[in-house]
Amino acid sequence: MTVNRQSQRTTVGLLLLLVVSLLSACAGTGSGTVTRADLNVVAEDEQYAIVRLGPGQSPEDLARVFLGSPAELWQIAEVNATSRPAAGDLVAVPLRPTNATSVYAGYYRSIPILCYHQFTWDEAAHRLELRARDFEAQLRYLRDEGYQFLAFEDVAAMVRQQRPIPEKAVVLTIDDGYGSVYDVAWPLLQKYNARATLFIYTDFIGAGAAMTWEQLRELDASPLIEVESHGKSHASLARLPEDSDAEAYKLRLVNEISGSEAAFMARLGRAPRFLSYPYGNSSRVIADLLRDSGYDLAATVTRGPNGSFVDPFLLHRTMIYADHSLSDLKKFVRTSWRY
Amino acid sequence: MAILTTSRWSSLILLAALGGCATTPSGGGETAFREAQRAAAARAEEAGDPAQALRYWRSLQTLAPQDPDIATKVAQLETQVERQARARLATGVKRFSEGDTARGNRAMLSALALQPDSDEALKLLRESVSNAAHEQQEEKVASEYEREEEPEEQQVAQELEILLSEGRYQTVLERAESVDDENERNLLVLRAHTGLADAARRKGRREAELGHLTSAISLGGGEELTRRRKALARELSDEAYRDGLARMQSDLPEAIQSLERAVNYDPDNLAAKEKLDQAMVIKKNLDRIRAN
Repeated sequence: MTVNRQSQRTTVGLLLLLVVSLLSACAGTGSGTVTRADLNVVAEDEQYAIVRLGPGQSPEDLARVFLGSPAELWQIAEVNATSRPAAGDLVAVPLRPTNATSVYAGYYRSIPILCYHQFTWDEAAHRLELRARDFEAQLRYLRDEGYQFLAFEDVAAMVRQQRPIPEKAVVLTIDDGYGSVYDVAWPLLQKYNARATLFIYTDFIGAGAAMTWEQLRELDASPLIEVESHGKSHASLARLPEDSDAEAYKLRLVNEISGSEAAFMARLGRAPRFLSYPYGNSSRVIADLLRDSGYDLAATVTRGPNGSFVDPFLLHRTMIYADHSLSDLKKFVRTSWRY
Repeated sequence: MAILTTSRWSSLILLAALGGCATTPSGGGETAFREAQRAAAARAEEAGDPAQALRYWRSLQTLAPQDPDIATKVAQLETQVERQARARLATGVKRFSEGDTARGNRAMLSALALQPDSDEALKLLRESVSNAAHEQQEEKVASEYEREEEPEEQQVAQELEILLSEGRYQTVLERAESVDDENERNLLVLRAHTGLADAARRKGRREAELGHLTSAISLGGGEELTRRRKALARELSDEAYRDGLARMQSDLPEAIQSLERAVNYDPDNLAAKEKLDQAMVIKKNLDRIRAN
């Protein structure tokens, strides 16, 4: 009798396990196991693939297989009338961007770029220093609201119209290279799997309050982090009253840019591709010089939208200060701008 | 009985699981897709968005490339989109020529919404946006150097930044005290000492270079400065040591001074330390002999 009960319990247990496996197999939440070979492509040309969803397959699977990431689901949603297709339904998958400039009737998409400086586990000592708990609240909000964390590399592709601007995306940038980036921000970026672009001025690295090159090499090796240039000495790259003439100004710029590049080459083994202007100040001369020197993008600290048609050497950024609230942040990460 | 019960439950559980998993074709697949895409295209057209309507129709054309009705509709929309985009582009060019940048930009955006691959609309829009952004930058930079109401503290820091960029490091050192923020002040002074160390090196004033490097390091100067200081200290120490050795036979007090300098430059210079100790013993003995 005891044996029978045990046998019954074992059988029911095994059945429950089987049921759980079956249900999870047909849950259709984009399990990551679906491959192109598993998909029933009923028609295809250079613009679209029309796919019949199979059991256990989801639109997220299609986004992953065809567009590289489930986060690109919005591209599929844009060209399909049915908002939540089920197994057996046909789904149109765009095989190339249907709107690479991301300009729509009445509005255009923008890439919000945020600019941070210093972080602290304690209370902020000044406006440019953000408390860890505030930074974490911002990261949590962005993650929970479904924002993709983009790198400057992604932005470069978007301003060249090689990739459309996502429905919800944000770029985090951190200027200068303070040690608190490594000590405070980096663990939080890892926790939220958030990408960030660090803009460092090379003379500062290794100084008391700054990160070391060793720390930067560690960050640079992570797919979450891009380390890029903020100049050599943090001198303004706009023309200063003290620049005696155009030639002297240009010479100063060349020294700043080549000095920073030399340090990047020596310490990180590569040249920077992106730059944030110290004090956010730019000029036509420095923008041309950067373009000629092989840079792809440069950013100011002037607030504003970054549509796909923005000047790549005058990207807008929004400074984040210690006294900004989450409701401020919500305004700063607006991705849709009416015209 | 127990086995029977178990078996019945098993069947029920399995049936329930498989039933939940079974797919219910929603609306008949292809027909449903065609109808939904056509309806969405019609709504987009009604809303004045032929470009979006075209996207839906093109997906239908992928599914049925030989369907003449779909081909006709796609061609009709393409012509409409092309015509409208050309008109918006012309309007934009006119607005720009009149100096009406805002309306010009809007016209170009409308052209791009219709034809995202319109290189001309994109080029003109980007030029306009870029010019405006440069003008905004020029105003910002100008206002930063002209602004009088700027807090004095910020002005001083900015002025010192400018002085640093001009290489007027000594003036920065003299004026750095007026920067209240300790971190900012230290960083300015550090950079000034680094600049002065570079200048001293160019002039061959190695002792001055060493002094400035030492000051910069005390303010948190990085690994590179520390390595540079160590190498320079070692170089000066070795020179003083050799000088001390050369003077041992001829001028003992001078030799001692040189060896003391060698040890001061580099306290790890053991050879200099040892020779200094020997020189001191000799001096002591000589003094004792002279006293007797």
